[in-house]
Amino acid sequence: MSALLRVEDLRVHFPILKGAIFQRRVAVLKAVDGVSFALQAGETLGLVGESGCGKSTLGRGIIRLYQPVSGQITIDGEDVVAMSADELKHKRAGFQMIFQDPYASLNPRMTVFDIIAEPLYTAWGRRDRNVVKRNVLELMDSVSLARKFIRRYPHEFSGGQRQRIAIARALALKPKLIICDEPVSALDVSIQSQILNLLIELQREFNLSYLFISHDLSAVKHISQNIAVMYLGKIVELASCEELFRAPQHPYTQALLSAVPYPDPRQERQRRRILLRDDLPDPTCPPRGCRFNTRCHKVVDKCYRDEPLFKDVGGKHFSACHLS
Amino acid sequence: MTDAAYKLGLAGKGEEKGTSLWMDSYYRLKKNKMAVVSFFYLLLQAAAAVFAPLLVQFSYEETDLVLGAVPPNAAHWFGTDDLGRDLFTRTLYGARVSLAIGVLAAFVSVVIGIAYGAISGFIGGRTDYVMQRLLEILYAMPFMLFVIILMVMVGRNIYVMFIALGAIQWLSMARIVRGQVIALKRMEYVDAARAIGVSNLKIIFRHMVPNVMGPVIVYTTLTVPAVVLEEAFLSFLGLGVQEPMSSWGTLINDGVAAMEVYPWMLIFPCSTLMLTLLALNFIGDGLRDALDPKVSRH
Amino acid sequence: MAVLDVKNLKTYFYTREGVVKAVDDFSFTLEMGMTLGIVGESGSGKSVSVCSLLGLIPKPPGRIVAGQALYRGNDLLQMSESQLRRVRGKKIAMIFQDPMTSLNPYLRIATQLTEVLAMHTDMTASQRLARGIECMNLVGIPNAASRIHDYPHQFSGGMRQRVMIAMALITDPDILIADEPTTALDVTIQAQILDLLVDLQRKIRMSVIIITHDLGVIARLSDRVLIMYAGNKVEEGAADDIFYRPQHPYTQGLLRSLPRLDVEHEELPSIAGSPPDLVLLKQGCVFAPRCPQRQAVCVEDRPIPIKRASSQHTAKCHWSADA
Repeated sequence: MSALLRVEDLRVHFPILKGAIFQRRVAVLKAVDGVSFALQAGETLGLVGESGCGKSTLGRGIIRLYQPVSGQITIDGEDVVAMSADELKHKRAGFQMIFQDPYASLNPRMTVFDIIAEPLYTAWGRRDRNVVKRNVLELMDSVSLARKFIRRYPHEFSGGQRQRIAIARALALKPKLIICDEPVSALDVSIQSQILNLLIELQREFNLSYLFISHDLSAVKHISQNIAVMYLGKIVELASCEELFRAPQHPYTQALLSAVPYPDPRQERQRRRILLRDDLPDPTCPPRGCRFNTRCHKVVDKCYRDEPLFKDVGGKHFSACHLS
Repeated sequence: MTDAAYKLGLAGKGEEKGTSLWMDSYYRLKKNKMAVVSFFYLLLQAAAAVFAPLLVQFSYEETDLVLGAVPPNAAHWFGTDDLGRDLFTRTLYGARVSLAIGVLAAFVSVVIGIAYGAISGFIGGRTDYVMQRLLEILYAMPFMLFVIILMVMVGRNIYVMFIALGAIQWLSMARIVRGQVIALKRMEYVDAARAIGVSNLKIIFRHMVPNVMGPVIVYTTLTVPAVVLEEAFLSFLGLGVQEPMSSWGTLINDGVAAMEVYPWMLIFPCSTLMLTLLALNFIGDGLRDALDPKVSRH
Repeated sequence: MAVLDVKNLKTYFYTREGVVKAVDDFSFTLEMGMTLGIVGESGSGKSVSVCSLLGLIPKPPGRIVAGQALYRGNDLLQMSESQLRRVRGKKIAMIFQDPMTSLNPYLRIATQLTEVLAMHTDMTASQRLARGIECMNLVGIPNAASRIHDYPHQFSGGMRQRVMIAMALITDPDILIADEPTTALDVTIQAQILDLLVDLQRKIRMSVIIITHDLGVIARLSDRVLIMYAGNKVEEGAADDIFYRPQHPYTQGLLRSLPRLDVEHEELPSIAGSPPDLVLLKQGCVFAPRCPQRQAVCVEDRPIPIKRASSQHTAKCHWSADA
């Protein structure tokens, strides 16, 4: 089976400029610095990491909201990086995005109809309004949004309902791949599971592939088949969901897993956790050698000298650590 | 509509009509009594100015030196000036000049301001930098002086004044629009539109312009009084409209000269100007509150 | 001994859209040295309730309609602003969600940290500085003696939150209120801060109120837990009671709907619907519209009987299973 999405050695850099007319580059933020992975059709790859690790940039880079510096992105057999703006416009139907904040991702001055119909009109040009409307209504059905709301405005909905509108918009052009950028993080706890369940349902119905970006390991675990852990612009570990939680290889993953508090007081009283030192280093000048060496609890001399390779430690479980 | 369409739910039955933010703002504005009163006052004033020739029995230019200046009475509601001209008539005709100049200059400032600000903010980077520095240079110039020199050179031409006053008002508008556009550029719905493949032009007109209109409308209502005042100032200096045509500025100018002998010549034009400015400010304030989306999102 | 005893607090907001009953029924007793966790979603009134106690809600539109909050026998709600300010600065300290905006970027840490000492004590400048360094050591900031002279931007997010905690502890308060203390932080930094809070409580005898939406944080820190929903306290009990024997359908649904790392589950049974608009609250139980166990009486009856599973564990529900 060939992968629906294949990313190879992708790099997205942002120059940090000073001065205005005579700009000079003072540093480069390597937000995504050599990332490779594959996503199979109908599956979900969870992408976890803390703020500033580059996970959102990676998601936006894949759908070319940001221009990659180098690397390859193949979606459904087609090279996305090489596409011209015009080609890209036609291919955008195949990959869509759901954003984090349903309060910011919907234009407050457009009705539900306008919002969901926008991709349809953009892709088809002018069309019979009834055809468009039928499509919009069907999309509203598939995200369980009552049809009677079609002429309402975003501010009249709760966060969960808004996220349903955003999902319907993403589904409109029947994409195969959806980048979900923290789709439940801004929602209330009791609403998060509704949206997670909806995403899983839609995946089964339309054979969708998700790149599910989140800092919330619990949500990622629930929805993903495979999980990639990112740290300072690189994937440090990639494995199937069960494998990653059963036997995490990279010290960062281990620390991340142990840092999440369980909603279970007895376990919490007994758990031993790995506490990482300090905060994330400045991403514009990551440490030499292994990028994690400033915070790692297992650090050895070698980690300061050589950058570890991202290698298979057995059974398609990849880790970028000298010790694994 | 066909039966099939109805079955598909296309007939629109049972659809709940939403309240757009515009409607929401309208309802809120309607609740603001001062703004509503001000609005009707301005409407009345504008109508009276437009239909002035039909409303009054006196001419604004015909002098009656025999009559001279008389205080307000049943025939002359605002009294007459020292040349015996009916002050009420002259105030109404003055409104024509003053309001027209206010509205036109505000319009000129909106057009230039939106275009300049939106381009600067949307393109960003070096273009933005250069455009902003240019704006700052223009800010630093004593514009009133510029207008005065222009008026002296070209001669007292009312149309030149329209354009000159509009041209000095757009600077702040451009800044406001630029700020808004930059904030909107970062909104996720703009990213969302881009991810769908919507063109830049459509992003500007569908997603940005409607969302900057609020501050623009508010600022416009505040530009009008500023321009009216500036015209009054120019006329006061003797550079505005020419006798016997009147504007509020010239009337006040005459009034000041005759203040001690014929105080009504100052009081009535002044009060009219003040009421109009107040009304515009009330509307501006009301609009600012009504258009603020923070209020409806709790 | 109870340090803080709150009874029947009601805080309403009088807005153009109508009366928002942000807090409609809220009571608790905070014992000395205890950690109370207040859980709720956005708009549940969890922050407003605690802010009302300290006079931190904007008035108008807010108004405390009823209630009593006895701090060592004195009613906080009856105090004048100046009396309240003395309590707030000295005896009840608060830390907020966002450590990035809570510090003034133009002032050195030393100035901000010891400001409250200058206001409320007659310590000399050097004594204040010494106390500041002591507190920074306490919250685990390395090189405190030199770092106290730095500016906020020289600290990372996690370190700033430590500074905020040090600032709260500097007057040796009886009560520390932490409003979403870790929400803005990354998981690994959150773990550091949670550890610090547990550690601090072991070292200093003080009572803590943690306000959060994160049940994991609550499980880690709290002795007692209070669940808020739509301005009402729907359940209160010891942490173990709430997590292992929840009585209220909302608590039960919430715990079931959480995706968890420590449990394998195929499906997530979610609570249907969304939290109600507080202006449009109808009579009857606030949770009734979303409740899977709803009966006619839930919709009709306004005074909802308190179900007692034990004297220490109560739920505001008609139908909670008997203990």
